[in-house]
Amino acid sequence: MNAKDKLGTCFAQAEKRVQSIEVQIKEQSNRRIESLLATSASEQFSALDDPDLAPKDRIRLRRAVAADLRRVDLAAIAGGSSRIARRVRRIFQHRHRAAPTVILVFVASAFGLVAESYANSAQFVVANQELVLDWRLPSGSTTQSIVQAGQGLTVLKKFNGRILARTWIPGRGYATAAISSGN
Amino acid sequence: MPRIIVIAQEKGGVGKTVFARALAEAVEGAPVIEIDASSRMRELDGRVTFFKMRADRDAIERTGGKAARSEFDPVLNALASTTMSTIVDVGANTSVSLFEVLAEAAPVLRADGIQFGVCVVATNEPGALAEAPRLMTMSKEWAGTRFLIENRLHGPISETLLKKVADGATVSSFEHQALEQGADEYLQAGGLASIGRIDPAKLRTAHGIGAGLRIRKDLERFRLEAMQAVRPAAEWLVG
Repeated sequence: MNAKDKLGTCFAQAEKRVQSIEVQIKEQSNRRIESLLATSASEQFSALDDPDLAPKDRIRLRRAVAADLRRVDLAAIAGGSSRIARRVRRIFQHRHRAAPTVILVFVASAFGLVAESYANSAQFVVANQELVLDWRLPSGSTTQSIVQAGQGLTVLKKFNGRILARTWIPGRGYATAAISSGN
Repeated sequence: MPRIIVIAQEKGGVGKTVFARALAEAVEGAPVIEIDASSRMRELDGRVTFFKMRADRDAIERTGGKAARSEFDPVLNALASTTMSTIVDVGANTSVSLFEVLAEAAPVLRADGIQFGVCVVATNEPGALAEAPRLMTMSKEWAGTRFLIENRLHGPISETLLKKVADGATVSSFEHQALEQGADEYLQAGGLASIGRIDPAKLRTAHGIGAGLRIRKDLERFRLEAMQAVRPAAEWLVG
């Protein structure tokens, strides 16, 4: 073997040495996670940052602990004596009757959220005429300013048909001004 | 025709000895010449010839370099008599003086068939960055081949600056290595050559199964990365 081949072999062996230990570390992590999964939730919890676990096994352990915690939550609610606990228990005891109620509550909440976010979504518009605006600050104080035609401003369209101009005043919060139909 | 690679940097703590050791790992059996205030590469046993530098920077400057030149006489004799490709590790505050001496001696040695290469180590630290281009310029005349290793111990050097410092030399980089607690002690005690000789059972007893494995992995990874950083120089050395 010439010197160049020897050099190549030397580098290949150095790489193999690293890989061989990486395999041993993976095997060690496998053994550790299997033994941990067979233990109690509290033991699993205290081993969450176990340095012997490879990242993928650490995720496995976190998922196992999370699943345990969910079970514990439901059990605590179902076993409690408060009014809420009793209601939840009733829902879980009569799941077939509770399903439409749960779906209805979910849909209503979702609709409420969408409507609220629509009403608070701002639009940037350009004034087509001069506007005199009475701004109300979060503190309750008011101030007047003139927006020139061609100048941009942010507006919110509320469900009651009102249109509000909105601007951010650093350190004081949002100031709003109603834009009347006369504007 | 023997080739000699000189690993240099005037500033200490940049990793010169690490890369000299990595070259010794890559080029099996290559003799090593260590020029320093104290011997560090003891793990290489019979492969190392150590030359103690007694003259400090003040003495060298006070005597106009005379103090250093007289100390380098045995080093030059060793270089002249080498028949194999050789690694030279130059300790801190010694590279500039040695390069001044080699500027005169290298042409003579070249006539005897000895080729010189230089491998400068730089980190992103003002002292090392100031010395690296100086050494590159000093060796341009007499070193047939030059290498620059960017040791990212203090973060990477900007691409523009690295190119400027390299001045046409072959550049390689060494990433900063995070080591498991306890690994550095093995590295300091036995260098790269001892990593393969560490007894896994003893490591397990001392640190536990997991930590023992991680220490071994970090040490082997460190050795491999250091060898990769010196690979261009190693290929030239055996060329």
